Parts: sequence; structure tokens; C-alpha cells
Amino acid sequence: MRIFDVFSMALRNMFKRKVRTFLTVLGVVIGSVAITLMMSLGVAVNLQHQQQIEQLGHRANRINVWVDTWSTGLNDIVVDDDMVASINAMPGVRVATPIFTLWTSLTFTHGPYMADLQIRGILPEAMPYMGLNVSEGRLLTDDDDFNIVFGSAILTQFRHPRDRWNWQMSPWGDISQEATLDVLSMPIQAFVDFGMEMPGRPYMIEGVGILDGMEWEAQTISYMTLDRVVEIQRDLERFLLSMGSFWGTSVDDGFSELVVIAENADAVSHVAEGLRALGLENVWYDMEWINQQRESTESLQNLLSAIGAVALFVAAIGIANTMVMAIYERRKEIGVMKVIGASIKDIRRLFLLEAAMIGALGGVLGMALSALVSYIMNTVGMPFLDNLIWGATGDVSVIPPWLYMLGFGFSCGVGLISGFLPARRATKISALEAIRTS
Amino acid sequence: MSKEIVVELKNVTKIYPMGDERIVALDGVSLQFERGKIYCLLGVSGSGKSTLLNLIAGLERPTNGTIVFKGRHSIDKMSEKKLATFRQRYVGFVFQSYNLMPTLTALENTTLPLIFRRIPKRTRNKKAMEMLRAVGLEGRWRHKPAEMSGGQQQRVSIARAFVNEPEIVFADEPTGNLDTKTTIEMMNLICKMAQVHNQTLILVTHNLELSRYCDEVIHIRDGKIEKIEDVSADKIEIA
Ligand SMILES: Nc1ncnc2c1ncn2[C@@H]1O[C@H](COP(=O)(O)OP(=O)(O)OP(=O)(O)O)[C@@H](O)[C@H]1O
Ligand SMILES: [Mg+2]
Repeated sequence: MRIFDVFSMALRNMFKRKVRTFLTVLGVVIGSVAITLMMSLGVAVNLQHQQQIEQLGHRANRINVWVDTWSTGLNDIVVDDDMVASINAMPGVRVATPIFTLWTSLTFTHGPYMADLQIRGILPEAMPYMGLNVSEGRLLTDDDDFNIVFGSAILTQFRHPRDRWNWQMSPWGDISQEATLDVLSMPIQAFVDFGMEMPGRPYMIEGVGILDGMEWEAQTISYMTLDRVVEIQRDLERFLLSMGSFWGTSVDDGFSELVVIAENADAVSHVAEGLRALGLENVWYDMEWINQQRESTESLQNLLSAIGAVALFVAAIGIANTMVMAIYERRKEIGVMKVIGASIKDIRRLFLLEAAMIGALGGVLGMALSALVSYIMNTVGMPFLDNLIWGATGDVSVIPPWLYMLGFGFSCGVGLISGFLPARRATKISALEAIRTS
Repeated sequence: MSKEIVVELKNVTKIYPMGDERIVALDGVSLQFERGKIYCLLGVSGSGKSTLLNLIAGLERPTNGTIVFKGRHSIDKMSEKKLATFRQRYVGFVFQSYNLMPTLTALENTTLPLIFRRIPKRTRNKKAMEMLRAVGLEGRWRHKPAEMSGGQQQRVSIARAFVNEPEIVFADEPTGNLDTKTTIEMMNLICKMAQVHNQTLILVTHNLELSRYCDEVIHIRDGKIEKIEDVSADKIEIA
């Protein structure tokens, strides 16, 4: 038989028993809708996770580590240059840098104006991965000496000495007429100021860039290379020691804060495990709660998918039952077809195709119904389900094209598989059935 | 005129095991069927007529002996696949209870053997319409079996049996369900078609009257050939 003839004959047989076919197709529709919708909930959750990761931006790759440098004990871990180097060599790590904040602000003078700046020391290569970009100039490099990258709010931080402590003042204060204040063209004198002046050198610091952005790390904090900030800190510690007012741990006893950037969001948790294995306890990363949330919804997704699978399985039994009945009814017809020249292959294909078409029809209708129900869930049912399940915004049910294809494919597959044994049975029916009088 | 043997049975036995008993339906039958002749298998109920027919058509396999088609092929040794091709090419079958496909029209029922032979639609529909015209049903080609009388259904069944231009046509009590007038019409039709194409026709019947359409009458009793009668002299001339 030509395939087109098999097709048209199977189609006719299928619609000969309209009610039975309808009920069988209905079973497939319910099964395919169930599995598609259940999976669409999972897709929606994954999509939300994806969006959350995107919203995190560079923070998705970032791990913060704090080390207690104040209380001392035998097993205390010391984060020194060697430790940082070994962390940098860990697989999955793009760059790791200590973040060292100078104990006091540095006072910068520019003409009549002064600015008290909080200074961080950092390894320059980490800057681009922490979301630090410049609006002017450049970021730090390893070759930089007493160079600084200012926070984006630098121009509002310079004030006239008489307004120096007046935080109520509007930005620019009374230097608004000098809006073109240039902080990058020449070295600026800076000194440590406790109210009394620290003797020794005022540092001549040259600005190389101004950061961009409103995040707190880019706004009021200025950055210098780790080596130079440590050098200033040592001067400070020496001074305090000479004053008899030094307490706490020296910068030479290790850093208290680290930022580790993983190569990608997927590597983050692995790197974090590695850091914890080194004995670092205070390891934090934003991806952690996203991962935890995903894990908790995953079991729910699995449960829902299992329900869908059961529904589809029941539909498969329905198809098999229908086919067995159809074959029982058509024993004589099958016999006649054999007598007038049908091959085994023809008969197998006839019944297999009928089963597959029941599956396909159920699949098409099922996908249409899935689209409708998904739409209703996202409009009418969303507030309810949203609060109940994950309390995030966005669609509860998302059916991407691949899921439609999968749902349809599942239905056809279920038809084919459940038609397989009945079709085999049909081929075994003897040509003699044609003669037998019922 | 040299005679051409289409089918030859050599010492064919068919035994049906029934529990402990063994029913011998055919007992060492040897027969020859010639091309273009009309045969009548005559015998009482249970004598083994249908069994003989089914064996020749390859619907069943003999317990013993062999059935040779055209001197070359043993029907009893053919695979299922070979049998399908054999039936497509060489065999036509007219059933007592018509056995048309209920979902198909008269035309489609007639084309069915050609569909199995993978003949393209245009060709097979043309051929089937010719057959329907020959059996006087061209106006009814659209009708489903349920919309036709028994006689009309049997006509479609005859058209279907002859559509693939078979070498042998089997008819197991083709008129068993029909009245006398229709029986005569059907017999005329079948025999005429077989004659026109020089086909062998093997007819099973109880009805002694029908033997008048035949060249030879084969009397069967208890699975054995009782006698073979040449009745071609008395044969009814069909217009
Ligand atoms: N499938 C079978 N199983 C067991 N016995 C069978 C089978 N088919 C036929 N027989 C037996 O074989 C014998 C011959 O049967 P067959 O059908 O050939 O008779 P018949 O001459 O066609 O009779 P009728 O005129 O009633 O159709 C009978 O005794 C019958 O009971
Ligand atoms: Mg019989």
C-alpha cells in the first residue's frame, strides 16, 4: 500500500467510531495538557531564576569573604598575599582580591577646597569584574603608584573648609561656580587627618579616573592599589603606636575582607565550597539564595511533572484499549484484507497509523488547550498561585515553542507506542477469519 | 489445444486436531485444474469443500502433500509475504457473505486489491469503474455497502475479485444468500467474466443446478474425491 492510502484508510477507520475515538482523544488531550502545563510551571520558575541572575549582573559571579582578624586563636586563618595567590589559582576563580579599607579617611586639598575620602586598596585586575567602570580617565593598573580612582560623587565631596562638616549642604556647596574643578590633571596633596595632623609626608596623589554609577561601591569610595594603601596604613600604625593609642591587629596580620570573582554564575557555588574548605567561614554570595530557592521549587516541579506523566500514561492505556477493541471488531475485515492481498506490513501500518493519529490529534488539541489554560493561569489565576508557590513576579506558566513541540511529540509517541502491540496482534489474525461465519 | 495446468494438488491431506480426536477434512486428494475451465466442487456439508478451496488459495496449509501453482511454486511453502504477493497477482475471491469494507464506497471496495498492489489512484479508479460497469453498478460507485442490496453487494464483490485480472477465481457458495433469480444473474456474471479473460474458476456449492455452468464437477465425500464428471457438453451458453 502507498503511504497516502494507508493514511486515508486509517483516518476513515478512526472516524467510524466517533464517540469512542472522541473519548480516546480526550484522554490524550488531558494527558498532554497535564504534562505540558506542569512543565510550563517549571519553565516559568527557571525563567524567573534566569531573570534574577541577570538582575544580579556582575554580582552573580561575586563571593564576599570576611575574616575575623580581631579575636586571635590557634587555628585562626590568616589571609596574606600567599593565601590570595593560592585562591587566585583555584579552578573556577577569575580573580580574587583583598579589599583593604584604610582605617581613616584621607583628606585631599584642592585650592581652597578639601575632601575627606574613604580609601580602598584593591588588586587592579579585579576592578572591572566588580562592576567598577570609569566615566572619565581609566581604572587602576598594576603599574600605578600613588594613583587614585575617585568615586563618582567626588565633585560633591570637595567643600570649602567652613562648610566642611555641614552635610546638609547641597552638592557643590559654594564651589558651584567652579564646576569645572579638575581632579585628574595634577597630583593632589593628601594627608591623614585626625583633627590633629599626622607628621611626616603629605602624600602626593594623582587622580587617573572617576568611577561611573550610583552603586555605593562606586559612589563615595575611592580606590588605590593595595600596595600603596597598605603602605599608608603602615605609616598610620607607626604614628598611632608612637602616640600610644594603637590597638587591634595590624594590616600585616592579614586582611579581613576578600572579594572572589568566579568565572561564571554556575561556578560560584563550587568556588565557595573551595573557600570554605580552606577554613574560611564567612563566605557569602548572592547566588546562594537563588540556588536554594531553585532547589526548593525543584521538588515541587518534579512532583507536578510526575502527575503529568501519570495522566499521559493513562492516556496511553486508553489508546491501547481502543486499538485492541478496534482489532477485535475488525477481525473479519482484517481477514478479508489479507485474502485480497494485504501484506502484513500493510496491516501493521494501518493500525499503527490509526493509533498515532489518535495521539497526534490529541496532541494538537492538547497544545491548543494548554495555550489557553496557560493564558488563563497567567491572567486570572496568577495572583493566587504566585503567593502560594514562589511569591515572585512574572508569568506562572510559560510554554516556549520547544515545549509545544515536546508536548505534541509526546502525544504522537504515546500513540505509536501504545499502538505497537495491538498492531502486532492485528498482523497475527488469520486470513481464515474472512471465511468464518460469526 | 494443449492444456495448461494452473494448479495441481498432489496427495493433499488436511487434519484438524480437535482435542484427542483428529478430524480428517481432506484425505489424500490429487487434482489438476486447467486454465480457462470452470470447476464445481460438489458435496454434502462437512465433506471438505471449503477446506480444499482454502488450501488452494493459501489461506491454510496442508498437513501433508503439496499444492503447485503453474508447475513452479508450492503454495503451501510460501512465506506470508510471498502469499500476499501471490494473492495480489493471481487470486480473486468471491465470498458467500460479500465481505465488503463497510467504511469504503463501492468504487473503493473494488479498488482495494489494486491499492494493496500500490497501483496509482488514477489507473486503479479507471480500472475499477470498468469493472463496476461490467457488473452493472457504475451508477452506484459512490454507495457504501450498507446502502446496497445483497445482490448489489455481491456484484461489487465480483468486481473486486476480477479487478486485478487474476488467474484463478475462488467462489465459496457465492449465491448462498441470494434468491433464485439473483443467483442466476450472479452465476451468469461470474462465469462470463471468467470466460472472457480465460480465467480458471473454482466454485463451491450444494446446488446441483449450478453445476450446469461448469466444465467439470468434482464430487467430494468425507474428504475424498468421489468422482470427476465432465459436463462441458451440457454447459449453459452464456450470452
Ligand atoms: N478450523 C477447523 N477446525 C476443526 N475442524 C474443522 C475446521 N474447519 C473445518 N473443519 C472440519 O473439517 C470438515 C470439512 O469442513 P469444510 O468446512 O471443508 O466442509 P464443507 O464441505 O465446506 O461444508 P459446508 O458445505 O457446510 O460449508 C468438517 O468436518 C469440519 O467440521
Ligand atoms: Mg463450506
